[in-house]
Amino acid sequence: MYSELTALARVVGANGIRIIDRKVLKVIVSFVTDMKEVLSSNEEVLERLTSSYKSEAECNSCLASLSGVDSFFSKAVALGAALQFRALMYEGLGRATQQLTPLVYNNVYAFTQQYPPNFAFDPAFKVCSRLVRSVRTHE
Amino acid sequence: MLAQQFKTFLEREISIESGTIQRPTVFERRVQVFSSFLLSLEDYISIDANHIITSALLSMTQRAYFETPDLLAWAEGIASDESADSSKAGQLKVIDMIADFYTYFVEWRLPLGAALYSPSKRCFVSQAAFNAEQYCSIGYARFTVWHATHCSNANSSLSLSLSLSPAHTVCTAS
Repeated sequence: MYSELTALARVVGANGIRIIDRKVLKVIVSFVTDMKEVLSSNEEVLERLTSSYKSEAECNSCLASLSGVDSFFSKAVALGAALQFRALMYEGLGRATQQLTPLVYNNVYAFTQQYPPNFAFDPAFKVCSRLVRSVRTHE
Repeated sequence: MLAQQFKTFLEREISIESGTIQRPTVFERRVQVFSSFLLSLEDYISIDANHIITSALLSMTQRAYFETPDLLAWAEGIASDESADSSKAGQLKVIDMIADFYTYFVEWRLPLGAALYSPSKRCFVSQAAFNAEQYCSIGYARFTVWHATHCSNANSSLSLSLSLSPAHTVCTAS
């Protein structure tokens, strides 16, 4: 499974995957921006909907006045697929690292198990964060 | 000269036609073959083949934001900074082609429904441009044969035909 992305990670390495990820993230940003625009344009109707969800008739009128719903959902589906692609890509990177440098991978994995979660932005664990990002054991 | 040859080889092997790249497994195998050839040359002439291979492969992914100590420098300015991705002439062509291919896939093919994510197969599957010889896995070929023999009259449901039709894996071939 995900052998193509694993092979890609073996050739281009962690930095290559990050370059691809950077471009994919740009696409994700554009999707999110479009979705945010739809939500902003419907802000008033959505706020009215939250306050009147008990009344069926009022809810229906609110739902009828929503605009750009199809676009919103198509963007949401595309966003989910893009995020899934990212997850697959990083799984491939982790697998490639595990295959090429199992000792490094297992050591970094054991190392991260000793620390509390969400230490990525903690200055005290900067070196550890860099190792985890390079090896991509888990994050 | 050999280093330049190796870079040229990488650029030539990754692109098979405009907008399409070679499958990563095939590309990796060819890189391995060329690397083996360079390493075997070490027996006959005095060269540092390991240095040639390593420098050529690493030069593909050199970017200024990887040199900074900031952990998230590579992800900064994604929405605005376009110049950070610009490559030096002839140096970063391979990774750019790969990145452009996958970006096009995510930006244009996925939203149009040309490919769907299959959680059970953990890959993206597509009906378009089916080419079994290149992309289909042996498991998928068995499944297609099983479907042809057992479900040949299953054409009533769109979802059923979509899920059971012969599809090729876009990103993976297990």
